Amino acid sequence: MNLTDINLNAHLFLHGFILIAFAIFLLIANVFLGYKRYFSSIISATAIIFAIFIVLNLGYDDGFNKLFVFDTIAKLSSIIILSASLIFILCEKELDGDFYALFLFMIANFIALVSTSNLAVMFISLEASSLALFTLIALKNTKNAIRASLKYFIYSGISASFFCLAAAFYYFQTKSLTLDALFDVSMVSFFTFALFLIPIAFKLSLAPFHLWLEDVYKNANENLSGYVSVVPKMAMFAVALRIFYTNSDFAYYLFYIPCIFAMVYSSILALRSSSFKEVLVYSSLSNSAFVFTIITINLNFLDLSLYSIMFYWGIFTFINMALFLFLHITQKDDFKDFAGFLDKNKCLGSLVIFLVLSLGAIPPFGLFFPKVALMLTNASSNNIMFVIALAISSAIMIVAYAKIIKAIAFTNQNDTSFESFKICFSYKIVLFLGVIAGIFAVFGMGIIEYLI
Amino acid sequence: MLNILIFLPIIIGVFAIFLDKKAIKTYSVFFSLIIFMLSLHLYISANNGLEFISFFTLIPILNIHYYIGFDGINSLLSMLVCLMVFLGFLALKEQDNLSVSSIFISTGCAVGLFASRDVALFYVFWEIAFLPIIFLNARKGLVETSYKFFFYTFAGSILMLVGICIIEAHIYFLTQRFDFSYEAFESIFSISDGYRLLAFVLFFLAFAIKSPLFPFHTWAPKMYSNSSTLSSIMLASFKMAPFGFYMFMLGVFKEPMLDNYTLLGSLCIVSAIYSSVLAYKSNNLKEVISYSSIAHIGVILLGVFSANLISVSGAIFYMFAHGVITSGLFILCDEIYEKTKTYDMDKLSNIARMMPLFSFFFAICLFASISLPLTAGFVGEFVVLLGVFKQNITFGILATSMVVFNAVYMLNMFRNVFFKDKQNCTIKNKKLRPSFIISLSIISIVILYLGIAPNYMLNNIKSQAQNPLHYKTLKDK
Repeated sequence: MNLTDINLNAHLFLHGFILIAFAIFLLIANVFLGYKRYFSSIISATAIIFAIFIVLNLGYDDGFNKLFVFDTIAKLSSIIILSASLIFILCEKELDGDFYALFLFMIANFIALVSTSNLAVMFISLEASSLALFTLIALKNTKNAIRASLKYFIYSGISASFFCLAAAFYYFQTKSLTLDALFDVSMVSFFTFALFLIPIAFKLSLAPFHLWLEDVYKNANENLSGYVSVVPKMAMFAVALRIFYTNSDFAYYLFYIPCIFAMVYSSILALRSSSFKEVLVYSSLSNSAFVFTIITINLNFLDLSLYSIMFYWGIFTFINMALFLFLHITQKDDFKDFAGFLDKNKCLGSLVIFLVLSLGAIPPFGLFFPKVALMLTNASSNNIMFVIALAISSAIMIVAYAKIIKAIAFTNQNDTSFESFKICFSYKIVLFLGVIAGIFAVFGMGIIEYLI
Repeated sequence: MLNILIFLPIIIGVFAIFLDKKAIKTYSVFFSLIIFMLSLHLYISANNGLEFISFFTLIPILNIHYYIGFDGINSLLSMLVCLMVFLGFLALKEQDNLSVSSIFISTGCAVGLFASRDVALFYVFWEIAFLPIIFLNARKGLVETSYKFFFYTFAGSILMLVGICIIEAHIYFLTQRFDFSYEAFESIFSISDGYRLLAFVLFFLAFAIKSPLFPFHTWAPKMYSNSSTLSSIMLASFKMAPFGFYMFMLGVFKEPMLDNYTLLGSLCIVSAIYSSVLAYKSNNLKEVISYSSIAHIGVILLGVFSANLISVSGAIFYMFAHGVITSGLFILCDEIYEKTKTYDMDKLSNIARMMPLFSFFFAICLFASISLPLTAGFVGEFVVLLGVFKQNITFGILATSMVVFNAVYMLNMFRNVFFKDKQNCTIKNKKLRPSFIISLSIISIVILYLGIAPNYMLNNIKSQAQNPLHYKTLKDK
């Protein structure tokens, strides 16, 4: 095959190229103008908005000799990743100017990860995005942040080695690194799929692969925690969908116990916690396990599965990041610190209560309809146990959320230290987006259909 | 029109938060009257199958629709809520923005629940209808009670959601599409026995918790008796769980319900007996009325489970009557508390001599509560018992004995509080407010009118109660 025969279709990764180009521009600009946070954040936001615009207008095809594919998985995942990144840029006011270039590189890698069906490209994107993330975690430059970053680096390295091993086995069995070969399932052994389980479960922090999590979330700043709880998971959903959707039986056996365990275990951990941030962290684990149950569903339900995942995670992204921003604004964590908050700050207090209710899937707000979609998808493919586990986990989680609401709304104020918070315009936008996602979640599925 | 009846109270409720405190009473009475008039108009108009239909798709791929409509039964129960909210606002003195807002929002959700023709929509309203009340009570200091109520009902709701998913999976299996309309839920007859029983149990638990039915009632007495009077009125007049039993048990799960009739009937009887015993032992006036209300719910549900036209019609009539009577008693209790600052029956006495007009109102509500002839309670209970006898004589006898038992503790309470002269109860301000008198007069008139001339309502109910799912559907229209 001549190089001229290859139809590159380079425009299919144009959104990634735009991000990389802006990142390089930022690096060069930083050399000449010095690090200017405001300038960097404007440029980064512009790059992301450009990228979103491009994603919305791209047609489905594959490019770079099938190294990249732009399909519904890539399109919807990219939109969620880019939206979350834009929210992060709007929230983040503390990090230095040089961080933004790194951030743009990281997003480009996440987009590459969700837009490829080639295991080698997946591995490279996975590692490159993780490297950027380690640095971001450590940028807070405290002893604990560096320790958390190192811990994440080591665990991530181990899980990556399993991915590498799985890819090697896959290549050995199929003589190919593209996942197209998966349509002939008989060529790939169960063991190979089992090896893929480890890096995926690690990135999604499905219990018991969640050990790195506590350090990272505790020591990174709140907004980054919010970002980490959403974006890498979205990328891994896309990867898992590509690897497992033709092999739902394998996925079912592999993920049956981990998913149920992760759902219930993380809900119990949330219930035991008295820290708002921890509840959000465990909620993210529990929610990612909910979503992951969809991976086990067979091809007959592919459309429904895909819609459900994107619907759920899209709504979750906005609400979750708004709640992490609230923690960032208040700089408080323990439930006791929020006693009497509603009386002191009615507007912000009501807003947070609404966001928590949305996260708790109280109908018709927030995650309710996405959760119904997940439950229906599972029930329709006869995964009744998942439906029951989901219900149990939801019931436990709502108790944990209720503890937050109790502290904010129904506990008498025990200190008067609630200063008037500075809520800048960009923060207001993020909180507003969270509320909009909560109120109008019911139309989310329609929007996804329209996007596709 | 129906959309206005659902969303107007919610909008009014939201605006009530920002209103000046001085204007809140006028605001609440005025708008609750408008809402009631609207609900009355819809009730009178909706007696020919399903009327006032609205339909649009919310989630296309899941086929979840905003599908609502009114018939003679759900419009009656909606009117009950609107009527009692109006009379509650009219009668009660103390009102604040949060209470008014919560009650209006709950009213909108209650009407939405009754009007829903789509199970997903029904579930949405089912879950949020009491949230404003829970929030209100928790803000007023009843944190633990509200929590208990919230967790109970949420656990019940999530079970129902699992049940819905099981049925939907079956519908998907049959038709390759989801369909949440009530009509589609009829296809459950072809589901396997195991799954049908599971779905039935899940729905039953959800409704039994909210009814409340023994042994899932533990949240109720404290919630009824400790919460604000407006909340108690709402709890008593908002018959969401009996309505749920009526819609789903008769419409979707009739077979498993009849298979388990002995068990369900026994639960109703035990619930009624147990609550009556507790009512007899209680010394708290509001608690007695709360337990009495739970006992009556047992009889209503027995009527629904008996599943014949007479018992079901009686049960629906009794839902209305019970809502009016119990809410009336709660309003009267509130007035006693306003004047004496206690619900303790040991500290209350001789009220009949001190406030004769008040005692007259109390007597009418109380006599209706013990099902004295010529009151609404009598007609409701009598028709239910007639239907129960037709289905099962033993349950009929037991349920009838409940009437006697109910009379014992209610009359005992009436004698102690109103006629005993213990010299320890003094009321300084014996004068009744005009708004209170108007409110109680309306309640008394409704009770007596329905006791003397129940035919219009009963016939209307009978014509539509045969099978809750067999209406003219949207497609027919």
